[in-house]
Amino acid sequence: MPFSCFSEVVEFGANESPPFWSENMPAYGMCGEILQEMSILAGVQTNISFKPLNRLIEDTENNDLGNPAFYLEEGDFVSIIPIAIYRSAFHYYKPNHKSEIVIRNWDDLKQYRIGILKGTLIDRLVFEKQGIHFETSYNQKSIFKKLKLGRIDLALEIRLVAQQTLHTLYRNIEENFSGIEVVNSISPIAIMLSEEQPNAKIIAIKLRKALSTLIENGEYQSIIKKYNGHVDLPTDWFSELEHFNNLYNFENSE
Amino acid sequence: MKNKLTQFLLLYLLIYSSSSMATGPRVSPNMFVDNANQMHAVELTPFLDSNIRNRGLLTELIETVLKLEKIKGDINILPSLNMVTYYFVQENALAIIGGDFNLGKKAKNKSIFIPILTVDEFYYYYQENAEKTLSWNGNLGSFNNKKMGVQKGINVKKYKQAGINISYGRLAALLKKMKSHKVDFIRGNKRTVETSIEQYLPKEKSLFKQMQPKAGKLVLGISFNKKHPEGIDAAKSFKIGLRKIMANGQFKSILQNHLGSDVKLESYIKYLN
Repeated sequence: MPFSCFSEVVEFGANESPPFWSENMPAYGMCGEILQEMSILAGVQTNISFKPLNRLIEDTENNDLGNPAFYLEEGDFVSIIPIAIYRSAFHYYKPNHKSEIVIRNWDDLKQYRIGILKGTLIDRLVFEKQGIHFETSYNQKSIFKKLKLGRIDLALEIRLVAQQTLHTLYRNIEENFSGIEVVNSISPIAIMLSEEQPNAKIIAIKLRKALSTLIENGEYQSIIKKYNGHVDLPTDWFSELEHFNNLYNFENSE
Repeated sequence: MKNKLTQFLLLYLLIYSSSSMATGPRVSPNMFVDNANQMHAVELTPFLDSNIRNRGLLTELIETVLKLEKIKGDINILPSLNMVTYYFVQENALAIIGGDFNLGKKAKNKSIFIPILTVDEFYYYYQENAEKTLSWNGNLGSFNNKKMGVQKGINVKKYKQAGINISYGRLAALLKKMKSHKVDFIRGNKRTVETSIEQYLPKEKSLFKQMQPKAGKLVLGISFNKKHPEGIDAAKSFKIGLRKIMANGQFKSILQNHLGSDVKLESYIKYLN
C-alpha cells in the first residue's frame, strides 16, 4: 500500500442511498468501496460523512459524492470524476392494476399518482404545466409501502435501490412488482472535489489514475458485480462512464 | 425541563432519522423526452431559470416561436456552460440557448445564431467602506492585478492579457467571494446580478456597486446546429416565427409580463438587426 501523499484527510459528504452509499454497509456501500480502493492506490486519505441531500447541496464549499446534476445547481468543483452509473425506472405493484402499465410519453403519466423522494424534483412548474403531479416521501421504504397499499400508482426510483428496498420489505412477493425503465434516466455517480479543497487538482489526477488502474486490473468490475447480484455489467457501462467523464470534464475549460 | 428536552430529541429524531437522508433519481423533464430534439440552455436568471414562471423570459419567447412554427424541440436548462457546449459540439444537440457560448471556430461554423434579446453588461464590486473603491475607465488595464470572478467556460483571454487574475465560480458563489474579499469584481447584466444579490445576499444589497461606463453587451439568443438533421430548417422557421411575434405584439407582451409593464422594448432589441 503506498504511503499517503497528503497528511490531511480529504473529507467527502455523501447521502444515504444504499447500496451505492450507506453508512450502514461494509465499506459504505458499492461506491464507498470503489472510493476506498481508489484512495489506497492514489495514496490519498479519504473520509465520508453522511448528511441529508439538501444540506450537502447548500454547503458549496465541501467535497461531494453523488450525482453531479444535484450539486452543480449551487456548487463549483475543480474536478468531477464519475465512478459509476445508474438507471431509474417506474415501479408498480401488479395486483393493483388490471393490465400491464405502458408509458410512452408525458400524456401516459397524467393518469397516475407518482411517488418520488423529497428534494429530487427539478422544474416542478414544467411538470405541473403538463398536468403531472408527484407525491413526495422522505425515504424509499415509505414510497414502496405506499405503492403496495395503492396510495400511489407508480414509484420512480433508481433500479438497484428499488431492488434492494423491495427485497428488504417484500422478499416473498418481489415478483409482484414490475419496473418500466425510463429511457433518458442514465445518470452518473461521481467524486466531486470542491474549489476550496487544497491540492484538489493533484488529488484529482491521482484519483483518476487510480480508477483507471482499478478498471484495468478488474477489481472495479468485481466490486460492481458484487452489488448487482454477480451479473455481468451492462454492455454500455464503460461507454456511459466515459460519456459522463467528458460531459463533466471542466478542468480544460480554465 | 426534562420533558422539553425529551420532546426536542424526539422531534430531532423524527426530522433527522437516517432514513430521511435518502436520495433518488433526479426527476427533471428531460428524463421523459426524446433525445433527438434537445435544446440546451445555460441558466441565467431571470431569462433562463427553471424556478420561475414559464422558466424565464427567454425560454417563454423561444417556446412561443417553437409552438407557432411547429418546430419540435425540448428546452433543458443546465447549470453549467461547459455542459451546454459539450452537448452542442459532441452530441449534436439541435440547439443551444444563452449568450456567450465561447464556441471554437469549427463549432461556430456549424452554428446558426439567431439573436433575440440584448442586455447591457457592467462590472460590479463590493464596497464595504467608502474609502475602498474600485473604478475603471473603459480600459481593462484599470483592473491590473485584481481578481475577477468568472463562470467556467467563458473566454478569459483578454482579461488575462490585461493582467487580471481569474477565479472561477457560479454567480452565487462569486457574490459570496466578493463579500469575503476573495474576488474583487465580476461582469454581468443588471437583471441577473441584482436578482441574484436579492436571492443570496439581500442584506448586503447596497454594498454591491455597479461601475460606469458599461462593460459591453450580451446578446441572448438561440444557436441552431447545422450538424443536426433538422438544424438548418429549424433555424429558418425560427427566424420567420420570431419576426411574426415581434410584429403581432406577442414579443412585447411576454417581455412586459416578465419585466414589468413599464419596460422599454427598444432597449432589449436595440443591437439586433
